[in-house]
Amino acid sequence: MRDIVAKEFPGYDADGIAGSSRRGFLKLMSASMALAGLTLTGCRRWPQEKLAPFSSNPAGWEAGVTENYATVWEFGGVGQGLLVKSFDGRPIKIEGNPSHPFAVVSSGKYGASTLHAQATLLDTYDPVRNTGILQRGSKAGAGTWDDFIEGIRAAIAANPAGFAVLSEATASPSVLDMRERLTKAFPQVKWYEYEAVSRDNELEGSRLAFGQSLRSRLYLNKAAVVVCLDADILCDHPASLRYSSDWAVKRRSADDGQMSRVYAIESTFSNTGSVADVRLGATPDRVEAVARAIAAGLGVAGAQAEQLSAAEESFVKAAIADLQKAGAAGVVTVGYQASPTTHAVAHAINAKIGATGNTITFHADPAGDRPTHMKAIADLATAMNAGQVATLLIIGGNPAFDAPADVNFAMGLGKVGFSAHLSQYDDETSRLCKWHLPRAHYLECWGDARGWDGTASIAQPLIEPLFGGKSVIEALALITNDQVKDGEQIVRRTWKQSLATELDWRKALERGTIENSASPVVETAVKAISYPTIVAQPAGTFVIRIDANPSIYDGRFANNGWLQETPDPMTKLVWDNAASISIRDARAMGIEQGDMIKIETPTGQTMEIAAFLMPGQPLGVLTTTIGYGRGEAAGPVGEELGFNTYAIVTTGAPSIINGAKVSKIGKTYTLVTTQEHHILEGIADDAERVRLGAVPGQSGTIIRDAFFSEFKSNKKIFPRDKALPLQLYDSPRVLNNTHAWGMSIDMSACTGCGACQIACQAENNIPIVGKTESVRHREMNWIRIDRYFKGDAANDDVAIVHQVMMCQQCENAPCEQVCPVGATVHDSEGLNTMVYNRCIGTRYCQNNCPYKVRRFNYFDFHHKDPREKWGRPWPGLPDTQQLDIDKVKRLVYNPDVTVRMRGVMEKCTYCVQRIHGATIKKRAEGSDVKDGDILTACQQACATEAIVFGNYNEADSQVSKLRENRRSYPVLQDLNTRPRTRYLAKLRNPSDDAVAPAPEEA
Amino acid sequence: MTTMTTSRFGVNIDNTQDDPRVRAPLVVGGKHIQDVTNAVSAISERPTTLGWKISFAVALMLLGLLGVCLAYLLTTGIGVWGNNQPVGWAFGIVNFVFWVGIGHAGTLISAILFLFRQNWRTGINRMAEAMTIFAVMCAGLFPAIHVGRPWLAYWLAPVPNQMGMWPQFRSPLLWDVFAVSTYATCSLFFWYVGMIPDLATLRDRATGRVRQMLYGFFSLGWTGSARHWHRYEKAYLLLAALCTPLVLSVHSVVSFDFAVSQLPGWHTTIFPPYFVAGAIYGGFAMVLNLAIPARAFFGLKDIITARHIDNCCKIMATTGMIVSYAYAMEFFIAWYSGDHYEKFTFWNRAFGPFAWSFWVMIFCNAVNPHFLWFKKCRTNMVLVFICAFFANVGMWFERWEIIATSLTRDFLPTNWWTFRPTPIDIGMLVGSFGLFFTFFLLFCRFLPVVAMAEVKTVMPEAHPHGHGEHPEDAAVRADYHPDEHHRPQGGTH
Amino acid sequence: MSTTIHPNPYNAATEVDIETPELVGILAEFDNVDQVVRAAQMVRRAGFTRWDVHTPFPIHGIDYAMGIKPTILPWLVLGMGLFGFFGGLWLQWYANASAYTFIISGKPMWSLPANIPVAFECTILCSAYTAVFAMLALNRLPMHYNPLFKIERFRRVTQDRFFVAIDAADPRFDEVRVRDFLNKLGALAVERVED
Repeated sequence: MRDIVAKEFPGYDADGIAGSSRRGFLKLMSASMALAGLTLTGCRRWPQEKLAPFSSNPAGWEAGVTENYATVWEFGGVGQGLLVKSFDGRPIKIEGNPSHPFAVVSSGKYGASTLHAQATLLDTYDPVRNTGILQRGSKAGAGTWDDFIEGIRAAIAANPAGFAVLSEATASPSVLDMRERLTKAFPQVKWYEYEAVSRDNELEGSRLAFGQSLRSRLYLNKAAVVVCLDADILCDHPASLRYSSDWAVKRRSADDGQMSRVYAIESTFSNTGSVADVRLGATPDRVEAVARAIAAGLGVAGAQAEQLSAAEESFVKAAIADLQKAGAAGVVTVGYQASPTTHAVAHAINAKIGATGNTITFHADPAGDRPTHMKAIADLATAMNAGQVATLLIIGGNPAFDAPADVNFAMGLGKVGFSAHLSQYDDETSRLCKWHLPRAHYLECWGDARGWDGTASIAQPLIEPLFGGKSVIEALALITNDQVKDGEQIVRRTWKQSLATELDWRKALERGTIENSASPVVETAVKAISYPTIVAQPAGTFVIRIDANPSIYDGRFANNGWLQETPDPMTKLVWDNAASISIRDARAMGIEQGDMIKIETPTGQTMEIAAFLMPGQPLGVLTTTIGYGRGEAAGPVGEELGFNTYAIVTTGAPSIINGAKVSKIGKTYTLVTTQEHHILEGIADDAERVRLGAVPGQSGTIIRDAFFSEFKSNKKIFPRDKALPLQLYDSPRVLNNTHAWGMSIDMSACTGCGACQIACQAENNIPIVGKTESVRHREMNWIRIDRYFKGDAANDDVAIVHQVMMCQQCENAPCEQVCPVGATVHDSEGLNTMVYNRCIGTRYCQNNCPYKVRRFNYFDFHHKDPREKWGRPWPGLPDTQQLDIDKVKRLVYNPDVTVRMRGVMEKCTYCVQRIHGATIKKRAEGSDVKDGDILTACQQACATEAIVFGNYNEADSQVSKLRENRRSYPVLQDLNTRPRTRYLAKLRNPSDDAVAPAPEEA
Repeated sequence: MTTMTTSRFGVNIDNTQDDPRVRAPLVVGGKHIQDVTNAVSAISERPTTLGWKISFAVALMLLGLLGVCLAYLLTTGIGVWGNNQPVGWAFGIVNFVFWVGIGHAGTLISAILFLFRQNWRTGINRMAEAMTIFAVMCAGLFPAIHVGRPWLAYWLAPVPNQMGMWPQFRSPLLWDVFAVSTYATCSLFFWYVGMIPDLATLRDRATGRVRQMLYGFFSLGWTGSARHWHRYEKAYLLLAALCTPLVLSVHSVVSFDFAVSQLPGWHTTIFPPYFVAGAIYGGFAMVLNLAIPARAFFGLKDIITARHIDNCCKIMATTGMIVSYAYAMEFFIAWYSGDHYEKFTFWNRAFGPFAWSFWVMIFCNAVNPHFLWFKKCRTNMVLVFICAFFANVGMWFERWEIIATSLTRDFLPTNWWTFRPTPIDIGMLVGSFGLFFTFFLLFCRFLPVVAMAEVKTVMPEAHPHGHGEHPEDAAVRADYHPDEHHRPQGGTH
Repeated sequence: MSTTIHPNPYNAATEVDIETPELVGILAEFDNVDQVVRAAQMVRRAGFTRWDVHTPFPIHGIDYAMGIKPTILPWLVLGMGLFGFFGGLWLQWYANASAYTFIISGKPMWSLPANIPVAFECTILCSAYTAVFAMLALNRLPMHYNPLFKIERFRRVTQDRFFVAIDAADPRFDEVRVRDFLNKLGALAVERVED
């Protein structure tokens, strides 16, 4: 590994960074010194000293004790409030900030976080970032900041009008402030903003409806009826945490007799669609037609009823009825790919039913008046190609890779005299620029950002830049030769009005948010909307829908192994992207799983991509994702994976491409899923039907679900656990302890987003295994989200059930009795413990586990190169993996959890380190843990609070109550394994009058 | 006696037909006691033949392959095999069960047939016992290396390790450790004890110093003393009596590895008898695969006679049909139990992704034995050899079916996956045959492949006919201090 | 007791000249089972106590003819077998129910059914060891030096010849008469065994 890294990144000195050398260590220490004062837990402060001898601890500093720091991460122009756990000066876990309005869960118990936010931790310690300043074409290759400043100033001076800045989307007040100062310094500078995943259609829509660019913010906790028009609000939205959390409130309330109803009509199979009560797959033009029909039905002025198919008809009828009934408690929302008109129509409907102001409010968009991203990038490219740009500063992003195919950005970039890219990675864009400037990771620098509703937060560093590097504001300060060049001072300057006193500043840092900074609600009326005729989909052609990749987004996380190995929530694909095609379309075209297909767009772009057969995918729509197909510039983990869909993206059709031709080419491709669907195999299909309760009158052994109406009417719809079968023995008395840990998982609330999986990976030092090992099904995730199709998959008429599956902590654990060396045994609190150093790896426990939740270290995955095909022979002594793990990468490990070596079994432990951490702390205080004191990692990541952990022996604990819930059941209870983890049955709430619609006709 | 035999049957006689009037001879070809000694000893005394050298070279190459795979496995990890998340056990354990099964015929022949006084066993028992030893060696290899950290495999032994831990005796794997090690030990004893007098024979015939020393050392100074024979036979009888339950227990215990778990397709009470029957079926097949070439190459046709082959075939046919019955019964119970998972597992075996291997097994183990109804087949060495070969293939696939396909699809459909062997998997399977044949060829070359002393006991000359006293005995005794009331002396304890 | 021809202690004591080989017994060769069995009967009836018969394979009825008493081997094996069984049980009880207890699959610390197989295997193992090593011990094996091996014709004892050997240490031993006696029994040859 070391020498591979050395080859990849000349001048990479692991020891220097890792802190194993004195210099490096002090660097880390000083970083933590600098920050330890700014904790949630109180205002501590001590002089900034570069030396931190443990012999005399600074006040409030305790070696080996973790501290939490509030910070914020700006992602696609929207800030996500985070709480970062730091251990001895290195961040080791990222969680949601409970005091951030868009991270805190409805119960207020903790802050949730998205899988991306959590996974950014791995980027912090990515050795690939260690490039230094690169000056292409210069003799040395490397450069210095001074050279760069000198160079860019000279270049601007030479041609002031030719200075342009291309920035990623940002609403950071400090950046905007620095932008103004830049404009002051260089009045002719042109500032462009581009994001590959752009929500501009929303702004367009709001301009159509209100004449101004507004962001809409939903209040799903008040919404009785939600109609999603191609909107994946629960997973693919900057506010998805808030929305999921609110949505879950109205789902969980089913136990109290009322449950929201979600309609989804969509041109793909999204998570929101998978948990909707009434779902209809349709092409985007039909989505708009349906939107108009609903509007017409509700009497929105100017809306005409459209020609609808039977399925659409029943969908619309039911939706209209419910929206009328719900009135202000209803809401219609639209996805960012949908046409501006659709957005406008939705605004009109919401206004009509009085939802506006109740279930939806509007806020000014921080940068609403800018040109759209597509226009911006097109203009810039044209200017560059026309030779009008002499100096280009690119802040973040990776336009050379993700710019639309029709703008020739790369070619233009070549024509720019002086180009520089401030970026964490020496990526495609950096390689085309004269300069690559290392950008500090957000955990390494000061900054600020605004949440979806404008709530501002300060980002504070948790560690000094590991590989040097500067933040955006610092870089801009250097260029403008600002008198303030220190990041913290710049941010303080930005906020000196609202955070006048040191105390305000400190409070803002501690809470992680700045009070009353949210942008105010805009009251505005809907103008008359024009309804251009909908262009129908040409027959025999496909709509290509291009989404952000659930794992690596627009490609920026390509080198992040955690995300690469997080399965796509719907397809369960890892390490690749593909084109999802409906079963019927595939059958019609004779396409099998993994067949390569050729896509030709009307604008002449073509690409080849592997087909993935996805039941429930709308007819005539191919869903694919961006971000893959990057070259060597993506880094050792992300290179040469998947297919580059930017090849067919054009400014005219950024995310929805109509009228594309799709043809099968002879080749096939190996797609890796962590889970197969057996829909094309008769036997397996039957087998699943029984287990999933698809047989009438039988409740499934794995999945239990029902319609809300049945659930209300029939009290006995879910059989309670049978009287426990006769046991030969009583369980040993020792089990009756003050603690009986258990877990409850609400399948009605789970959206299958996958955040819990990353949380578990980060908390428990779980390695990634790479694509070649995933093919062999050796992924190591302790927690996984099982996706079950119910219904007639072969005809795309399916419902999906997400089931989170991890060790069930069985009281009669089948794994324990078969272990010959006693490596897995029960503890007195009912945990099924796994003792790694005792394990010799017979794998018998895994064979005997009916849930197959045990994971075996087939190799030393922690130091095995994930892209390596075969395990490298390992002449070292046994159990010495630790010596081989890269010194930077190992900084990410949680010190409370063993790093497992090859040849041992591992599995979920209910985060035993957290359990004992908390109990010991409480014991020291002379008390005992109470409900809510202990949160498992997966629970803490879950925005919908679907996962609840607690003590069954505590009568009023949440788990104890949930165990008595009518929906509660153990999976595979007939085996009498007596799991401690219980599930709450899934409820769906389709309209009582309208039956769930049939799939649309072929 | 010899003359009588030859006169009745002629020299190359067919002793497979049962003539109620006369006990068919077990040694034919007009062999005299000394001819047996010569025929058998010659094999180890004559210079090495080219055929042996070639086969030994091949065996050594396969053994080398095993060594290479092993080194790669140990240095890199179990991941070099194809095992994956649902399929924790595959080739490693399949090979283990396969080889343990092979071993059974040896013990069965030496122990059970001995107790049943089946004298025909004497022709083949030595070879079968040797086969047992080497098969158990191969078997023992796999469990040891299939664990994730083989260097800690000794934690399975009941010695407190550095963590002060003891093994967990509820685990069938631990039962396995005891069963297989006991089995290996007892088989070794049985084999060696039986060989002592024959080693003495080789010692006494040896001309070279080295051979004299070596055979002399291992024959422990055997003099054929009647008093030794007395205790020796008792010990042999006891060993036989001990090995008989042992051989039945070993494969029962192996089957517990599966029967005690709760995996559909494993969790079956029929396993112990079914496994034992299968083991005997496969074991005898292997005996035949070894004995048929051996008797041809080493000129032992008169000692390992057509009758021996015939009897082995009959046992194969019987056990083969027991196994077929077990297959049928598994399916019946799966249906009759109404257990959904059980039903699916067996349906999946017969028609799922691995159906092909299931039908290979059915042909080899359920159809194949029925050829042995016909005497024409049983007495045709080529056909018998082929039948036996198929039986071995079938038994490997039976274990594959039980172990791997059951694992590929169990309770939660989300866990279902398949299994693809890697070159290392194949290499170790093939290599294990190298290990087996290397040792077997060495055995054939340097040790008595037939239990000479035992064969002699079943030859007509071995039985005294003189009863009562010779007429002139009295006179002879009279001139040496006659003493009629002399009680037996020089007894032993 | 005596299974070989022992050098006579008295002679050895009185022997001055070590050059002259010392008579340890007389060996008679026979070439078929009937003769050797008959010879054995005769020798026994003649009251010899230190003598033995050597054959290439066990001969039915020879024990009776020689008056060999049944061996105590089976009792030793039984004893050790019982020891193995209870030892095995104790080991498991000590290991899992006493020395280092865990909660395993909600089972009690000590549940007999799970412990039978190992106890059984221990029984067999101990018995087998006893059967083999007790047999060798009782036979005083291994014994790699034996004066008999010096006699050329005795090499055939492991092939097709049968021998009767009378020890010089036998109280009734008298070389001349023993030779004569054995010749009368139809021995092919009679030889001195010297050491």
